Amino acid sequence: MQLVILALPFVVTVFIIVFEFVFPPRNFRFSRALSLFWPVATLAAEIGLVWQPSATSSADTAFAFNSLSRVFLTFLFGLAAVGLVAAFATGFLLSGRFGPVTLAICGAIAAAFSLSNVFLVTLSFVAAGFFSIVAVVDVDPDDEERFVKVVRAAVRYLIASVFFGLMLFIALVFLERFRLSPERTNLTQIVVALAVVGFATRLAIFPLNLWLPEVIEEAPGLAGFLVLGLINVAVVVFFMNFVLQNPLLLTDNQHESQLLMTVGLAGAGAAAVFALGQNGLGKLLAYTASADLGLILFGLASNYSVGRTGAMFEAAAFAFFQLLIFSSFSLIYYCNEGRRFGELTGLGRKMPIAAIGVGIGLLGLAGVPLLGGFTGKYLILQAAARAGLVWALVAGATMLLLLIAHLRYFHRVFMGRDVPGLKTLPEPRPAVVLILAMVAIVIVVGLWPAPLLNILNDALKGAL
Amino acid sequence: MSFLTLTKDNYTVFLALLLASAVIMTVFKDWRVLTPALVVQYLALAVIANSLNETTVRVMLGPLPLAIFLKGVAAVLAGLILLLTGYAIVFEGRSQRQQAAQEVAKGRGGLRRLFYQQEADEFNRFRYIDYLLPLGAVIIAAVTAYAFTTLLSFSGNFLGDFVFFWLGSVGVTIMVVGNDIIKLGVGLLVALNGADLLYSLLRNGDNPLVLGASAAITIFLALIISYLAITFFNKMKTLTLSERFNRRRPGV
Repeated sequence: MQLVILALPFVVTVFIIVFEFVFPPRNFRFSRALSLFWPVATLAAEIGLVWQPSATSSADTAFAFNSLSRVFLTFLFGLAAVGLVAAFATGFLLSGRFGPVTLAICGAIAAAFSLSNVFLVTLSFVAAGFFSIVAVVDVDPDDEERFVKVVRAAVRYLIASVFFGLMLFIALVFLERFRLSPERTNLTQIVVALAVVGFATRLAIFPLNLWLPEVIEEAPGLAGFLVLGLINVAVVVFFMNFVLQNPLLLTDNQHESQLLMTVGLAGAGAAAVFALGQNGLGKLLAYTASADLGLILFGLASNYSVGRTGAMFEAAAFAFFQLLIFSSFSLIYYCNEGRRFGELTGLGRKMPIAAIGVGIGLLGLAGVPLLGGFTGKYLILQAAARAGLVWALVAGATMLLLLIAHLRYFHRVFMGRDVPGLKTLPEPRPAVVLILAMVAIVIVVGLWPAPLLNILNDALKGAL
Repeated sequence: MSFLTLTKDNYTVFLALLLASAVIMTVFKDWRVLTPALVVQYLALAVIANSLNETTVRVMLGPLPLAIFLKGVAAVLAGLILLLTGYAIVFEGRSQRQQAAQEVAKGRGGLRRLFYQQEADEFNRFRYIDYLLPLGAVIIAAVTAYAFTTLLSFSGNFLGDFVFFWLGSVGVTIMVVGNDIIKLGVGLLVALNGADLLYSLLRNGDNPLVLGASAAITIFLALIISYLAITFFNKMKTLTLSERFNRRRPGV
């Protein structure tokens, strides 16, 4: 069963590439529909397989789906499927790259969540980063300026992905060494330092986030969601499992734990300040995402269960909001026929649904009450308050700065003056329905988060 | 397979190969020199890593240790991928030059193309500084590696520690002095090699899955570099990521 779970996404990826080479979706109508069907059906099958009893009850210890991994795998695969539908509705699947890339990334994530060997898990995430590069550079080459920028951003992202893998790989080697000779306690500091640098690079925690802004600013359509919403949130789950499985590193180590909390919160605060000065929507989003991931790191490093639950809830909310925002971006690109955000203002009157999607997404990311992002941020604030007043004040100020940065840019792009003579295509109905459905979910979860919190708490207890 | 074991006789040969290949990769820009140097480095490192690995549990593939076999396969495949990428780019460039020559012959060359050509010639002109700077960087990398080895010795084996730090610092150096996609990729592959060595040095026992996954990542990285290089070259007619080339590219 485990081998099927591991192999299925990759087999279907190869099949889709061959199939779309023979029947390009641009030329064949049936191939266009199938470009959505194959990956979505595979993801649905994967979710079904993961919940089979035989997926976990194996005598082979090489495979170990724990409860947290299973919950997040289901959630992330569900989001990936919705992302594919959004990409289909906005014509982003036509290039023939986004579908197979999404599926390959999901395959790498399934491998990372199911394998118990941490070296293999690390390599799986590096592979996922490599796959996403193909989607990042999937821009129209006729727009030369953007093309050069996106390739340059992709090279930086490639370096960051390899750096993440290297740091973590080296940290794990030292961890093994420490297990063999536990008297060498100084090795724990090396392991924590290397692991933190590795994770912080991948999660784009300030100041190791320099690779992210250009990727998000220039990457087409939903490629940004793959980088931030899918891979980075999966890395957060990996980090959580890593911390739980190695209590000596953080849980039982107050000094290192405090240090990591400082790294997370200071990074979040600095990124929020920098977000205020950004002049591009993608760059703004990159900095606010960096701040959000810093808060998540803070929650994970805090030795309070409320902080960890908050961090995991926030990670899930973060993935969902990234999907909502990038789906809305994709809709805007589609309706403006690829015009860049820098040239657009006053979109709210021409594209109300995209404006609602981006607006709710940005407000949710900032943790506004009654929206889905509030619960996670509130729990992280609680953890900060337990750690001390200064922590709580910095965390609160960071959230306030995030809100100001989001509102400032939202006002300019969606509520500013109309661009004279700008003509946009009508918003396609499937994309409209999808975005409104996501907005409804954000509001429902914001009003009634208890069921999701219970699921997360149970998953965390199971993982322990 | 005695030549795959480090002895007093061949010790210096393998070390020299490792050092020389790193220097070549840092100093030269031509992919025809870079790719063989990369393969040589991988093979030399495979032998060094195999000899330094004092684990009691070795996984063998016939007479050959699995670690060496996988490293060799990864090296040859990665080298082959980069070599084919280089050839693809040469052929593409050749057809573009022919097309440009035809247009010039028909009097449709245009002033912009002429300026671009002048700038490209200036950029590609032989200058000693282009080689001196990387050489200086290699010397700094060597000093850094030696300093780290003496200050932060972790495995108890001078050669192992030095080679690990050497690969890391040279990998970074190659990325710093390189400004084209293939060279940046070669720097990443060299740095990745260092992590493999560390795994051999400190792990107690080979894990075939990890060795295989590591080799797969090496090949995959080479593929991604190749993909980016070809995609970029097809549109921009250069592999250089520097600003001045891209700003004044002629409209082809």
